[in-house]
Amino acid sequence: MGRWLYVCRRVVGALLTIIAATILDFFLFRAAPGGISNLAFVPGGSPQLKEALRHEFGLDQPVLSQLLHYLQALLHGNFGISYSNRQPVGPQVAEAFMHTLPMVGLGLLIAVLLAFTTGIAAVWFRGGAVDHLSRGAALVLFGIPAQWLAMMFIFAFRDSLPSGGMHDPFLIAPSFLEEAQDLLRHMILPSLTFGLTTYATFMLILRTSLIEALSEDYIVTAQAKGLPVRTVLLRHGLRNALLPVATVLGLAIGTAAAGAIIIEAAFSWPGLGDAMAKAVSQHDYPMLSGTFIVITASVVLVNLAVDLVYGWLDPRVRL
Amino acid sequence: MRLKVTIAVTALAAALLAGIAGCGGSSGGGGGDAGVSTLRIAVGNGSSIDSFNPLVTSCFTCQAAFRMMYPYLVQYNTDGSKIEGDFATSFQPSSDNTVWTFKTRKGATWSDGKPLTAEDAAWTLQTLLKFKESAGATFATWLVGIKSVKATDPQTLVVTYEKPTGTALVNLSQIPILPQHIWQQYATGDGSQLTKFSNEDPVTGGPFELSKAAKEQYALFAANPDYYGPEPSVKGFGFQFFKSEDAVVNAVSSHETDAAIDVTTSAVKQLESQSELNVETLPGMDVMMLVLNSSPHQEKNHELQNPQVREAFDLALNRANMVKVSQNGYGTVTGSLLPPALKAWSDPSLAHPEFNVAKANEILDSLGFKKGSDGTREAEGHPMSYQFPYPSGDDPRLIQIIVNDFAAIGVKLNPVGQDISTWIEGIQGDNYAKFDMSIMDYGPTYDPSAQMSLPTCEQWGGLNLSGACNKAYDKLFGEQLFQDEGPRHKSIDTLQQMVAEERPILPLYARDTVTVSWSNVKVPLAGPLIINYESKDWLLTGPAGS
Repeated sequence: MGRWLYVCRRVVGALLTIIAATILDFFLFRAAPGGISNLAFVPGGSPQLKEALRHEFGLDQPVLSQLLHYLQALLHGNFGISYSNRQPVGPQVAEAFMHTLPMVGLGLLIAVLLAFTTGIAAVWFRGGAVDHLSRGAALVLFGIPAQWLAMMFIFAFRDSLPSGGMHDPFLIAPSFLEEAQDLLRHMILPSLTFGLTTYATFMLILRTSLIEALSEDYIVTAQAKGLPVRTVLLRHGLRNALLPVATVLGLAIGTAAAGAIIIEAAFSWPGLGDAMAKAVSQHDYPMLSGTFIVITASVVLVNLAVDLVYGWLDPRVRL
Repeated sequence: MRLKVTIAVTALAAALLAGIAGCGGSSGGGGGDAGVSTLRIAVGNGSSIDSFNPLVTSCFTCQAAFRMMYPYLVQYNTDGSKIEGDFATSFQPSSDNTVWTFKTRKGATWSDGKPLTAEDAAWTLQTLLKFKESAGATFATWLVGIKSVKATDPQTLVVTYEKPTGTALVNLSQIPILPQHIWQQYATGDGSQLTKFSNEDPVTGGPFELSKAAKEQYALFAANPDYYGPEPSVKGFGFQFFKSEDAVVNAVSSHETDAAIDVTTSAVKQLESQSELNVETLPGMDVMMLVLNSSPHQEKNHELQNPQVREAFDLALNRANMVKVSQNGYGTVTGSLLPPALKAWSDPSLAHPEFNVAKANEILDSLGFKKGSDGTREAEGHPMSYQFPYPSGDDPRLIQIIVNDFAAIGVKLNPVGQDISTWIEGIQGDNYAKFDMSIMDYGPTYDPSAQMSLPTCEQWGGLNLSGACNKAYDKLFGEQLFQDEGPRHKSIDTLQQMVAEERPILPLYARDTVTVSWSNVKVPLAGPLIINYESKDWLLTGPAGS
């Protein structure tokens, strides 16, 4: 019963958070100056055209009426019409999200693998060259701007990997495998950039919490029992060091749904971050709202999942 | 298909990552061999095709695509020197120049096999006229003076103007002909359905058909075997869009693409060092301008309306330095709204605006605008300190040069980078009451009307960012739209002079355009309007390869 109550509370809290964020976003975007003036900045532009556009998009209605209409449409799965290309927002956001997912997914995988490998190695050889090297590399990569690293990768791999985009549009009748291979080739550099600029946080937190865990009494007991160092470190130490890492990882997975705007721009990756950046510059409210709902939902749902995993990792949390 | 691939790749990514980097598929590019390949073109500078609906978008690359996909009644020839027939085989004005009769191609078809006739052209023009203040607004400029349009038979189109219109052909050369049988179902009510039509699988009648496209990524075109005109010199071409300038440079230099257009000038030297590449820099059409608030509704800083103050500002601008620093030397200083590359119309007497800081200071001193302790002058009881909003995408080095140039004459500018909508609204809001000055760039077509319309009253709330409204200018601008070529040239010269004298806009320079292609690509990519969206000829005239 306690477990279900815990889950119910978390789910209801998550839903309320998404609804509140959706409403807040709605007002936030409309508070920005500028409206849709850019759409009327054309040779035939005029105040009359501006008014016609405002009417077409319902912006001449009271804000509360716009909100009501927007929420009603959302309940029917309708995210609205993009101001810039006049097409439904839902499919466009979904497409951008599906573009972002594999790239940041692979990036996160790289980050996690690197963080665990170097983090554990740093603790294993604590105080030695490996520890210093791992920490140093992590701090350097943490400090490097993603766009600079992206640029360096583009130059360094100019003859072996694509400069940008998600596909080679000029492939002739590619098979499924060729298309998959092509997508992977395009994903390597952006994912690697994402992974390298992200892993340091995980690695440093893992190292710190692992060191902390290794000073606990149960570890001393395990060592006293004569268990091998590897078992003590990985089975007893690592599991207890995972809680803070799970928190940071959860946040990172959630926010990664927004893509990495800078990385997507550098590699011309048509993902959610890129869609959001374009919507901001064009004051495309429906696109902005659509992307924010996806990002909000991702952050909230991943955090919900982390909360539930917490409950599994540490039974005290359910109390 | 793509979704399946994405899911599969996500699952397999880690396992395959290590071994995949060296592998690659076969790419179908190489515009080299005559008429057998697809010409792969990298497009940078943030350009892409955001819609295939001509009523929704008017972006540069979009227009190039529409020109290839749709029939046009008439078009400019390759060098932009004259108008020639396209879908129209002949055209004739009436004796009083108010009625134009076009004879169109016989036997032409749309890509779905339906007949392409003068009736499609008539319907397109009638529909754009009907919705010229809403769905058809982007074409409103080109419809000026049209009274009625009708197809008297399937091969004859008659366009009647309210009065003799010298720019009739120029205007009609900008309007694509749309297939009536596809589009007419959307031309109802207020016309808003016309802009909601995605046109993702367009029925076309031009030399190329859209074969494949992905939003913001690429657009591929294949030669239309049923095209009414000459056979294209390539079997297809494609635009691949890059958001990063570095990626464009890399794409063309590593031969991912056969060519790149609108390449950043900072990469010219690097690309020129690669012997297989042809790097062409040509005087461009895009003019960078400083805009001064000229609105009668300006609330404060009224000294900005003083012609002598404007003259001082003009003299203080070191345009050559802007070209040298901001454009890496690839640009042309100008004092005309029309770029020097538009030789037929640009007034050469305005080509070399004076740069004289001492004279500028003298003028401001003579007005009694003395410098305060911080070096900033005072005018009419307040410091000459002005808000200077600019589109955040513009070159910060240019902004800094302008700020420094003004500082040299005791005028302080406060630059603020803004997104386009905020920037436009900040300028045009409340009838231009609150802004001081800004910068903008705009490029004309081969015809000067759009560029010369920038300071007209009619463009208030549209392209007019200075808030200027001079009835005499508007009158002459309106008249030249209907004049024959000779008198029109005089009128355009006068309009350029009026702008130069009243200075609502201070033209700064026209930036060069850079095109890069592999040496085996012989398609004429280069031209002032790169890619030349005013003419289909660039891919119709061969040979394409070596």
